[in-house]
Amino acid sequence: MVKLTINNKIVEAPDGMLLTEAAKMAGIEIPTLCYHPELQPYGGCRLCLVRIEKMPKLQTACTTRVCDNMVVTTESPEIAKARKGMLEFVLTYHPLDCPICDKGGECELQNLVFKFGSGFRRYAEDIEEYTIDTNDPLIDRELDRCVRCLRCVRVCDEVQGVTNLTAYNRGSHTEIGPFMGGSIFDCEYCGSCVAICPVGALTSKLFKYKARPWQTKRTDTICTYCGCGCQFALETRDGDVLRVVTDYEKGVNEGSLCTRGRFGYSFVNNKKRLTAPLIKTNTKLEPTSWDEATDIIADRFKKIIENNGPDAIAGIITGHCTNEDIYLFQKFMRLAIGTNNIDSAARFGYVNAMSAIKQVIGSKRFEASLDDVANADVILSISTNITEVNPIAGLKVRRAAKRGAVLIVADVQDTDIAKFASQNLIIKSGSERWFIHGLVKAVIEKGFYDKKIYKDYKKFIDNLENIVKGLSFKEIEEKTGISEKDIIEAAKAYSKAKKGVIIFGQGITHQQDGYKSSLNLLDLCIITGNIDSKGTAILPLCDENNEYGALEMGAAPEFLSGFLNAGAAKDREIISKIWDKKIPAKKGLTMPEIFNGILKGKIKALYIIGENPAGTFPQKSEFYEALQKLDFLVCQDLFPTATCELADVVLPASSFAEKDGTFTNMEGRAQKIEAAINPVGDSRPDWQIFSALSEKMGYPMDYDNADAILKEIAQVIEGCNSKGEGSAIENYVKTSVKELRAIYERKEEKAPAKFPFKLMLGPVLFHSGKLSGYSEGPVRILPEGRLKINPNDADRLGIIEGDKALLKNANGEVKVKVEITDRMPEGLLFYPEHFMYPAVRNLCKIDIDKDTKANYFKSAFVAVERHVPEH
Amino acid sequence: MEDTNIEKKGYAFSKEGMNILKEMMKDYPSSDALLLPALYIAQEEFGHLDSGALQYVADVLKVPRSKVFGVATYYTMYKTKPTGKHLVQVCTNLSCSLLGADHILKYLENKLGIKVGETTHDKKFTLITVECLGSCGTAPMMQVNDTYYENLTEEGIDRILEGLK
Ligand code: SF4
Ligand code: SF4
Ligand code: SF4
Ligand code: FES
Ligand code: FES
Repeated sequence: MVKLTINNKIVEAPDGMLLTEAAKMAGIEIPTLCYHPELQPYGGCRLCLVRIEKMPKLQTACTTRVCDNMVVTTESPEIAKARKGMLEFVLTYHPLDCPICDKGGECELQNLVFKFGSGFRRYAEDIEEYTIDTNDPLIDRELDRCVRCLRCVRVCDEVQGVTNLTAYNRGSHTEIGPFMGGSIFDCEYCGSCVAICPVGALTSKLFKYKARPWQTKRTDTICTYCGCGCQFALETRDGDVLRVVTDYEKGVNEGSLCTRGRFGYSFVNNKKRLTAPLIKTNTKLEPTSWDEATDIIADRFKKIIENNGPDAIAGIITGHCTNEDIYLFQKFMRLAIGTNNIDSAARFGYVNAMSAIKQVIGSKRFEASLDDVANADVILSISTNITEVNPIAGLKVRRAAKRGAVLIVADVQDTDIAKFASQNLIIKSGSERWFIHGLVKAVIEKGFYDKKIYKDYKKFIDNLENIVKGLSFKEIEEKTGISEKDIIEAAKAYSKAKKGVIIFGQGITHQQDGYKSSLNLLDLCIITGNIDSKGTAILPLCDENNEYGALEMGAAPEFLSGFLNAGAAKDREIISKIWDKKIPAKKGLTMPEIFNGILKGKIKALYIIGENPAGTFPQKSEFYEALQKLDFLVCQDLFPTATCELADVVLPASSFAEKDGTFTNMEGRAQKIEAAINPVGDSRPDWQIFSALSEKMGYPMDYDNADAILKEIAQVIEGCNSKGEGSAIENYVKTSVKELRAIYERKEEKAPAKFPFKLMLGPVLFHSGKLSGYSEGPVRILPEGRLKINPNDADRLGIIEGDKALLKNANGEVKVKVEITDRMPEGLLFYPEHFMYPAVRNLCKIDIDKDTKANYFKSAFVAVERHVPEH
Repeated sequence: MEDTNIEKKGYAFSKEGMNILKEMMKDYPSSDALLLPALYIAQEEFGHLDSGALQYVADVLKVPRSKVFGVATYYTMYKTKPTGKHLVQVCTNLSCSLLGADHILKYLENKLGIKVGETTHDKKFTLITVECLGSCGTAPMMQVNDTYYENLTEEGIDRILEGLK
């Protein structure tokens, strides 16, 4: 701490703090314009001029660090004159069009001039002409209003790490824009530049001319797109969500957002929303009342229970619902219906990671912090295009790497994050397990493992050694394309880490043997001592925002709330006691088992919340067929989906913007969301629907509000924690050699000669799930999907940019536009899973995981040719 | 260091250019710092710095291309547009102006038949104005490509241009 004097007041501040910040701490406001607490000091606008004793001329407070005995004056006629002068300079070419500027009311320049003058400019020469460009799909650029604070340029570079913007030309000719001053930003569209611009030079097309800032209501909540769980506020007026804003220091995201969070909100007010319950009369869905709809559902459910038993009913819920929704759903299914046939979107792959983690850490709650990622010294990022799938987690990785952390990236394609990597390992698709086993092998055989751990877990490590011995580095290189040297280098770096972090994504969790691979990665953590110590982490990424919650609340046949084992009488007892009703003992069905059950005629009724299997499953699959075979289908959703069309009853649910509750992000952090607007139309929050149904089913679950449910959840989870078990890792390392061997099995997939290309479906930055497709922002940026293909492959097939490719296999054929990119390796194709048309998904087959019954349908082998358009 | 994709598009440093850059790399703390010499080499080799050249420099140095663009447009000695064989740069700063830079400029415009910022049809001459070139003592002056011509008069200009043909 140092002592200084500001305006005759003695102020204490940490040594080296910026004078602006020290003054602020002492309650003294120094006006600033180019300064922003999130950015490095810049000193471009000279508005923060202050007098510091013993220094010549006025000094910029935003670039001056405090020191002992500094004597500072921030208010004097001299300073007032300087400020006024600087503002007149800033306004030299300004159009003074505040009445029609979107920033009016929250413009820092307007406020400064209002406070310090001068409203008058002496400059009388010709006004410089600046770029006014409204061609970008989202961001309008009106540089006549720009004050050249470079906050946009700096945030894009320093915080986002994208460095898309620059200041070009010089002096009074300076302009702001992307490469070559282009019209289209063509970037990640995180919107940070728009948010940080102090004036109306960069504005969002989506918000433009909608409202003045003081007319909107602000509600803090959590993003509903991905598992990062970013915090932001919805600004609303008269039931319309108008924009998303953030505070720079708040939430895991510290004010940053990705494009989905920032610009993906308008699905909430989309006119296509379901606004009333619908029932099928003959073949058409007709609106009805809640009372009638719930009556019908309860009646049909009761009849089915009577005739076929409760296990003839099953339910599937999305990971976009709140914990309260999901908790009540599984309680409804288990108690009001009486079945464990419950599953969620986590079955598409996230369940693999969580089951493996639970296997290793036991009843302890799984937590991993994104701060640990940002502060790591070594990060191993495996099989994820992280900056696209979970952009804010990606930002933390970028930040760590920029700070000097060793970043090792392994993926089947060249990803954006790799440009910050010290090792960018492009592994062949399908060889992920060879790669991970190679790492384990290198750690053990080269003696990189933790020597202390070896003392404790000698048997375990020896067993592993025996198992990986059979796999040679030569074979690993053949399969993965990664040399022995590179594998050893990666293994060494990770082993030597003090704060080692492993991040893994869909390429592991949503692929064959995802559970086993997750365990293998956990082994890697255990033997290198990177599992329990502070600052280390293993983090599976999840793409739906509350997949963690879906599992923790117990929306899975194998898990009760708090990850208790639904198969264990002891565990069922714990929760039955709190619920005061017995949980059925019969083992429930997972998602693929549910669909098989329907085909076999065992499952008669399905209750689907927020999922759209008819629109996402490959049409040639048995699962798709199963949907047509149901006696009774209930769909609860925001939008009329393809599955709704097959339903007997459709219930309109409220979106995240209309409800209270909590979401649990990938870190295991439960965060509150708050209703910003009233439910759209006659929609209701999901939990209220379950509550209403439960009453009609004769098992009333009555809660005043979401908070009351949360209280019960807290009680249940506390109940689980009291279970108390010894260190679970101690148990895990006792895994027998035989079992371990099974965990280290590898199955090779071979492309059939006729279909030599591997096609993968996956998430992309601008879309996630179906909600983004109903939002203007993401649709404007990316209206349609494109098939990514390697330039050499394209060359060979005679395909050029703008062409369509014809994909074929036994399941059918699809035409799709291509994007030629050397990010894709030869032989691999990628298509964004979000787009339902053209139905590329129909080429895929459904694979079911042996261990967890996770169902995958994101890949296929195909033949490709150039599509010749007919004339 | 060479990126095959870019080469296809016709932008690649010559061996000598690349060697100079590699040599310099040893003396510079980061590749950002190499931006100025790299742009200079690019200008020498490609004639001027268009988007392809800037992208090439960005790829070679692994510096974001927006930064390269920002730097290239900041310094007037980098040419982002094609110029004639001879770039005639007339100083119009204080000393030169006092000693008739205005007149010199008009004379050049008339003689070459182009306005400031333009290039002659035969692509021989491009005429631009620049700020003080530090040759005030011999004002008025102009620089053609890398050569200074001082104490300019009409006859002097005639002679100089003649010599350049
Ligand atoms: S939207 Fe984000 S990535 Fe794009 S220019 Fe602005 S800050 Fe950079
Ligand atoms: S566009 Fe906005 S943020 Fe960027 S330099 Fe101009 S005023 Fe500053
Ligand atoms: S989609 Fe994910 S990363 Fe993007 S703002 Fe939402 S929670 Fe954050
Ligand atoms: S705020 Fe200090 S110079 Fe701009
Ligand atoms: S003013 Fe022309 S050289 Fe200095």
